Amino acid sequence: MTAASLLHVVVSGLATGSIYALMALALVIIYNATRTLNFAQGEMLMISTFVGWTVQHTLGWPLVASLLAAVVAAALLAWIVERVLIRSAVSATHWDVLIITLGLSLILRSVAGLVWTHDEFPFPSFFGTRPIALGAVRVAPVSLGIVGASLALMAALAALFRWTRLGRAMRAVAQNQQAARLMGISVERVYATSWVLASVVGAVAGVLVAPVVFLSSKMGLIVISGFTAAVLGGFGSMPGAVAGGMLLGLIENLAPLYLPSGVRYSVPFLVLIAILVVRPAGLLGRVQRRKV
Amino acid sequence: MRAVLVIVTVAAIVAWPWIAPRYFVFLASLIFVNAVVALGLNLLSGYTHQLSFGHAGFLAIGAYTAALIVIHAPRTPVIVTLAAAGAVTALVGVAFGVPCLRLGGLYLTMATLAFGFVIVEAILALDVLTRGADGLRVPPPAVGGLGDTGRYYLTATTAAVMVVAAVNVVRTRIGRAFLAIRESEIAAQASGVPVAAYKTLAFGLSAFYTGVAGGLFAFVVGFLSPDAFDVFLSVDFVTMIIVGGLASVPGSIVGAAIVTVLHDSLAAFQNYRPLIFGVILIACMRFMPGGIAAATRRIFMRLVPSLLMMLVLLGGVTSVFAQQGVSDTEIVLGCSNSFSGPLAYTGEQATRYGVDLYFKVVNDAGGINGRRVRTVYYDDGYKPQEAVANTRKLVEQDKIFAVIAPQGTPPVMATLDYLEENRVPLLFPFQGSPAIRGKKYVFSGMTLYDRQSKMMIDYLVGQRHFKTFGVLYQDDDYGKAFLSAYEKDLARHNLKMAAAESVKRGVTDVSAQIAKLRAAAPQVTFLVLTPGPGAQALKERQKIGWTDTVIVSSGPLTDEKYLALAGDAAEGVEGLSLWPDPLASDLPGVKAYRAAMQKYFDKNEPNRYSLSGYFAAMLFTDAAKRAGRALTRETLVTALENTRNFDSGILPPLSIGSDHETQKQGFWVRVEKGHFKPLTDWLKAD
Repeated sequence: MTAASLLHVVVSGLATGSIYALMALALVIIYNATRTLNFAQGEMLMISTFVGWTVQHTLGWPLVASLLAAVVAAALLAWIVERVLIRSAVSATHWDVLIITLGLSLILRSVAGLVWTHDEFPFPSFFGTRPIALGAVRVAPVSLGIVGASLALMAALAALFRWTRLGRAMRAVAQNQQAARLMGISVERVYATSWVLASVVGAVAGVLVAPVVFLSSKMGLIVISGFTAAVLGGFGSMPGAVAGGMLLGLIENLAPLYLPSGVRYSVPFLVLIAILVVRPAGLLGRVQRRKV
Repeated sequence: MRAVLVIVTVAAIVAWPWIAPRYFVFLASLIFVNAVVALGLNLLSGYTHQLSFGHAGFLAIGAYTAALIVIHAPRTPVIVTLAAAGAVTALVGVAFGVPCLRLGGLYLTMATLAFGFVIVEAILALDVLTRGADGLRVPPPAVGGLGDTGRYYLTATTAAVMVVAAVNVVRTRIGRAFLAIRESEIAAQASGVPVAAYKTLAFGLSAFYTGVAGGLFAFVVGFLSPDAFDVFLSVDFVTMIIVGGLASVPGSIVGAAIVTVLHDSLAAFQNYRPLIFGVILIACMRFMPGGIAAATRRIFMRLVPSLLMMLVLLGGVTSVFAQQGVSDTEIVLGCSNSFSGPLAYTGEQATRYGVDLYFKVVNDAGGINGRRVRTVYYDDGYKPQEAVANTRKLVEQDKIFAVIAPQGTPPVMATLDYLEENRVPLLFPFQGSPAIRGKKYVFSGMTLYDRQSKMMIDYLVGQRHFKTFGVLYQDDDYGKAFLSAYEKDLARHNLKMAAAESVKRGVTDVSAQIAKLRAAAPQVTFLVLTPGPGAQALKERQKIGWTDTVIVSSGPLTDEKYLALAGDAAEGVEGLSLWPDPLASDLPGVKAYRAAMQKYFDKNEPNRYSLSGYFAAMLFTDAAKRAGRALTRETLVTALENTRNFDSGILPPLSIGSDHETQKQGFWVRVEKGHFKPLTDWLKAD
């Protein structure tokens, strides 16, 4: 194994990791607002990517338009889901929403199968696969493109949370919902915005990853890697989600390089369990002390 | 009043095998198995409020433990086997539960999810014991040839004992401690409940229940494979306690019954089934929090479970078919196939757009000797246990004449013994494992993997003079069957596989595997994958600019789908093709197929999966016509065995002999400008 090919595997791992990080971020945004897990995040991503593909496929519009269509579809879907299914259940235990989103994920996958069949489809990419030379190293533009686009989106999110009024409101709700409400923040609006925002992040991840794993009703299963990444980093922590995603992508790619077939695919999950044992709140998460 | 109810229930359960049709005895056994799992899950999730998405993993441990005991120590009494299955699983549960003590809510749920995945991987990795992805056949346990009735009483008795035990546990100090923990861990701790000890106990107890259920599962289903225990099975278990009611013993049982029955009756809805299940889950959360157990406090809701049961029974008596699925006017065929899950597309194409397409043509031309063909399909989502249930339902309830074109090695293997015992023909399954050879009622479908491998290696070594080989294979039955066949055929030529790398189904990136294969520098690299990962591998090769190897795809992979996904990365790829090009070939049979597709399903593109189903229906029709008006299963088998030079216009003239193999050939192709260009005539391996 030469250093150049090792580097290629690492870069590919980071590309995969960026997608996981985006998924994890989407999950964390919803978690921070409503303290629940969105099991349907992957299926929402899949539906929005399918919508984007349909626009591109039937109308022949350029790829940018299909990205926009995916984003709009994602926002709309999330808004409807939040209003119709989630809002009334959110006050109950964290299970209720979890189970509802589980049901939603089954429904969305089925609907996708009925509308677009369970077949796999090629999806056009913004970036090429033919390698370019950077000094002695050859890298594929698609890997760099995914990493770059993801980082840009993450930076935008960070800016949104840091500097805008909306971001401050969302952070306030994450910290203490009651106090936020007393300060005059519309918590319901934060719920809705969080769902829409998370879904949009998911849609971008979908459009980025679809050329690599192809578009199909199964692609929503990527959410499981998103969960793993979010838990690795510490659920609730945004930098943690990014770190967890990148780490997971690297582990997934390096394990086949050094480990025999029998154990390599367990490694991400074993690492997850191991990290939870040592740091029950994940790498960058904080244990929340609850006062009685 | 309560006593009367209990007596009536017990009497009904005891009398069930004598009053219910055979299939419902089997279904009831499944309900008991699931009820024990639901009880176990409820002890953990309902009582101590720790949601688990890993109980399919516990079930697997119990099932494999019981299976291994029965295989290696067949004289062990059943009760010892079940207790051992429970004990081993409980040990694992405690070992897993102790480190999880520090985890709360969401994190615990995630850890259990990860646990489920690790167990499936462990089953694959320990293939010396578990036979990995090939699946493990479970012989009946030693209680004097356990039939359906015996299995029923075994599961019923075990479930009864477990229920009584659970009722007692939850009423004692332990149960109260569990509930205290659920309400508030801190308050429980403050009141002197040793929270850590009780949480560990809950884990152990829950795992014990699920392990015992796993043992029963192994006996009832008779076939285990890692596909059986995926995360969706865990989701089903969670659904059971949600529908039934958290922290309720009767709720667990009712929930298990409802979910099992719904699974069964919705199988006919094929790809609508997950949709309906999703709606049920959401409806339960929105309109019936607390599940049936809480809802029964409202009078009218008491009717719901009984109504559901009535519906099932009605479904049972509506099958009014004559013997063996052949009446004066009709022949009924069917299969269990994937309409959801990883191979949903293939399943739907092979059946609804393949088998049915040809039968539409046949029916419109007057049928087979005056009888129309009707087909019934049930969804198994690639899970062997559901394939078993569906196949029994097809045979015992729908009274089908023969099984036609089911899909996938694990689901097909799981039904093999049952079909052979009941003398139901299993025709042309869409799978290539040689394990189906040597059965009286089984006829193979696609060219079996060992034949494909022999053709490929003989051609590549004999005619093309290649010396070094590598392989990228899918980490399941399909990939491994090809890998071992390749190795065997290379050994015949005194050659060895230079590098073999595995890929997991649904993987996101294959760069590491491709990098390792490249480092071994093989002249030929085989791909034994499904279209998605296959195209990913080709793109990855393009990314690193690896050009000095010939990529060769295996038979099932060589299709247009994979070319469409890979785009220009597929140029120059070679492979063995089992079917002529469904879109471009001008063979008369393929033209007729395209014309029929245009006529009946003009929105559906022709493809190899539907072509293979269409061909299966053709083979059946030819033999059934020759068997004449007096069509029985025996005359069909004889007619099939006497198929001589059957000219389909799709494959070369085909004869079936006593080996029951249908397709035996393939031809070599290379991708040029996005199309498969044939390089050889039909190759054979005899």
